[in-house]
Amino acid sequence: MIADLRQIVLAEDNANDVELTLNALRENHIVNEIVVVRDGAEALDYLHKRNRFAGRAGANPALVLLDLKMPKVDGIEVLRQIKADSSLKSIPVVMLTSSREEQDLVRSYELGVNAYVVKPVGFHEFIDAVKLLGGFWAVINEPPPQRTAGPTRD
Amino acid sequence: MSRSLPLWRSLRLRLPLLMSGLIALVLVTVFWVINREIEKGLLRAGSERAQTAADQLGAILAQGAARGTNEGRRIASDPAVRRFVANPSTDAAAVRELLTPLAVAAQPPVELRTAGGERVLEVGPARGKAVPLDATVPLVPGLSTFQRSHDTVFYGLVTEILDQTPPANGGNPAAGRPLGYIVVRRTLTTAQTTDTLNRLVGNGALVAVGHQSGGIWTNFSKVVPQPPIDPTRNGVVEYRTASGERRLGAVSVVAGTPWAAWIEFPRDRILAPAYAMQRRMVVFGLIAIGLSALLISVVSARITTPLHDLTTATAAIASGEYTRRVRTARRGDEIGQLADAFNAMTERVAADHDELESRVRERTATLDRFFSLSIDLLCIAGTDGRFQRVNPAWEETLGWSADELTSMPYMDLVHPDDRAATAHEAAGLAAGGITVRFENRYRAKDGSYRWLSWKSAAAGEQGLIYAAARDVTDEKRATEALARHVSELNVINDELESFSYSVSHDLRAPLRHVVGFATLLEQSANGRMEEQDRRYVKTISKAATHMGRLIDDLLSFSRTGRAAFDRREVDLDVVVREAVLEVSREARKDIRWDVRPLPHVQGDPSMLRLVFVNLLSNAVKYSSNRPHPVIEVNVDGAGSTETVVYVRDNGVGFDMAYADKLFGVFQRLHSSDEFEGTGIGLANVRRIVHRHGGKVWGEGVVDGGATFYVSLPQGGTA
Repeated sequence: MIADLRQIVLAEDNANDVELTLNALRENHIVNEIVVVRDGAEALDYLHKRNRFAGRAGANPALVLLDLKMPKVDGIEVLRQIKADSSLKSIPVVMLTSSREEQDLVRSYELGVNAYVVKPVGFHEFIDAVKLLGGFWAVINEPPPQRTAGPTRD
Repeated sequence: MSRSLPLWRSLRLRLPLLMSGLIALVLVTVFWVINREIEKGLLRAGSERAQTAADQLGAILAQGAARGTNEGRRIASDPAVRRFVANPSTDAAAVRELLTPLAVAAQPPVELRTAGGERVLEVGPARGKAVPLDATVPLVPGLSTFQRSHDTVFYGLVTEILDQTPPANGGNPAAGRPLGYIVVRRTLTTAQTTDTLNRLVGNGALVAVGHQSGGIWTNFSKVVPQPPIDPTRNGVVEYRTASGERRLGAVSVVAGTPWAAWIEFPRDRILAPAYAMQRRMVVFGLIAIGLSALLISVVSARITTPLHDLTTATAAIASGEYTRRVRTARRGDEIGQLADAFNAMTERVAADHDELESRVRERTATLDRFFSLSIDLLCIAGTDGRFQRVNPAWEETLGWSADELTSMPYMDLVHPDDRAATAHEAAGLAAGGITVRFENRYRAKDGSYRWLSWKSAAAGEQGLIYAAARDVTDEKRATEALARHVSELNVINDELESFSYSVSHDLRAPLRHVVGFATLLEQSANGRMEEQDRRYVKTISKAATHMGRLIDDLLSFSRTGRAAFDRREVDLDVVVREAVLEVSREARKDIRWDVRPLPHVQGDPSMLRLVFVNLLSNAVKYSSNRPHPVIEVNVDGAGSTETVVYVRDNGVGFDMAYADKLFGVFQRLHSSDEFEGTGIGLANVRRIVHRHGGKVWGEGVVDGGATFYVSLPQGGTA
């Protein structure tokens, strides 16, 4: 059963937030492997299996949690590239961010985000939110069938 | 009308000419008819005269011939003559005696010839002498044909002398044997005869006699050719000679002879009186025409001269000479009336013209006053690119005098960068366009440039451009300053926005971390912490959470000010019902909601929803410690220009002394210990209502409840 659990990618530059998020996921007994990347470029490297992640095994992740504001490549750009790539666009992407700026919301939904969550200040609320997210996307939601051979890319 | 009429088109010439022509035509016709009648009469008379004369001549000749014949017969029958001729040797005295009466002076002598033709006796006249004639006539009894000897024409009368007296009863004369002949010769060509004839028929006439069957014709003086007539019949004949002369004559057959008499006149001579008459008539006619032309020209001058005067006067008035009048000479006729009427009209026209001119002067003076007073720069420009007239505002604005402005092309004053656009505008004006709010820069005398805003149009046939310009340099500078400020503001706004963004993202993250790690600390130290420590950690969490809420509210307030305004018709019933639903979810369930029907307004639905959520949650909050909370939403009389809705509660109310602090940011009338809150809600309400162009105010009594009024304009403004 465990072998079936796909990874969850958490793209977050802030170490505190990473720790809190991992804590919250753990608190909610989500056992999927969490891959933490520290900026947008790393997130794309992971998804495209290149550079640091050139040799990584496994399929597309079950879920990508994206922070909006990240160094190098921001969350919006990562989202755009995921949704523009035919082999990646079926991956559920959730914006997990501090911003509730209207423009970020509008832009994200335009690019096809699957959910947009504003991190609450309260930790308990945060844990509840992560619980809902992880529970739904990583456990309840049935991901699209995994293609063993994706389109070859150079 | 102004050009002078050429004489040949003038009535002054045409009328006399026409009338004289008519008179001449009538005269010519009458004269022609009269002349024709006269000529006819003359020709008739001439014919009669010719016939009469010819008949008389014929009668004379006939008479002479008859007398000669009878005389000859009487003498021939005398026995003495018989005896002598039978025997010519006898005494001739008696016979000579007998023959003498036949001999006529100036005529050839009478001859007595034998039957054999031998002349036996020649008798001359008793007085005077005979004319010798070397020619004779054939011995045929009777009148001979005309004979000629040299220029002398004569005829013979031969009488037979028979040997016995013919029977008295008229038996055949030939019964007797011819013994001889009495030969009488008569010349026709004598001067005497011609004179007589001339006297008889008048000069220029041709009198001729000749044989009916032709032969020699004579006019009693010499041989003449036979006229081209039929000499056997009496009658009038007209013919034309070889030289073209027309002649008229009459034939008279001479009774008892083979001769015919002819008398002819030149036709012109017959018609001479008619010609004389014609000459007189022509003279008379010319005199009559001349006189009538004179008369008519005098009469027509009396008509046309005033008309001419009128014409020149009209032309003079047409060219603006209003003082011109027509001489009337006190004529009582139609022309006099016309002249009077014309003068009266001219008087009126002159008066009207004077009045018009004075009004024009007045108006011009008025316009000139405004022209001089105008603060705006007024000008008239010609098609040559120069000003023709400028008002004093030009000098006041640019420093150039009017003379300087009109003496140079205005384009020289336009800023080089504006010249192309100015030329384009001028071309548009020339094509009939209108310039409104065209702006360009004009150089002032001090070298600086002033911005002028133009309104101009071309008018009139000469294509003059009428233009008014306003010095908008100051406005322009103000506008530029404003634009600068706006762009500065935009920069500031952008900074503010990025600041808000930072706040929302960066400021909230550490708070979250504080709360998160405080919670984790509490969890990990569970049971190992003193009560005091736990309270500290909780306070840290609580304070950070409150700060997070403050930041959220502040950002929301800021968003309200910047968010796009979506104006539409809003049903307040729906808005308030949704707000009540949202608020009541987390409120006490025993609150009595008294929501009355509400009208439609113009506004942004989501903002209005925020207004009522805020007002209602305030009402819930401040009546939460009441035993029976009642919250009422109602219309406070909908006026024609605004709609007032209020939200009333029976909560703790407030002191009206602090009513002005109700809507300030972070302003609170109650401690957070009493009632939780950030102090942003009512500030947000006021901001939204203000963006709708409305007003909001509150009324309250401490422990007596509060009422908040929202007034929205009917039309609504953003």
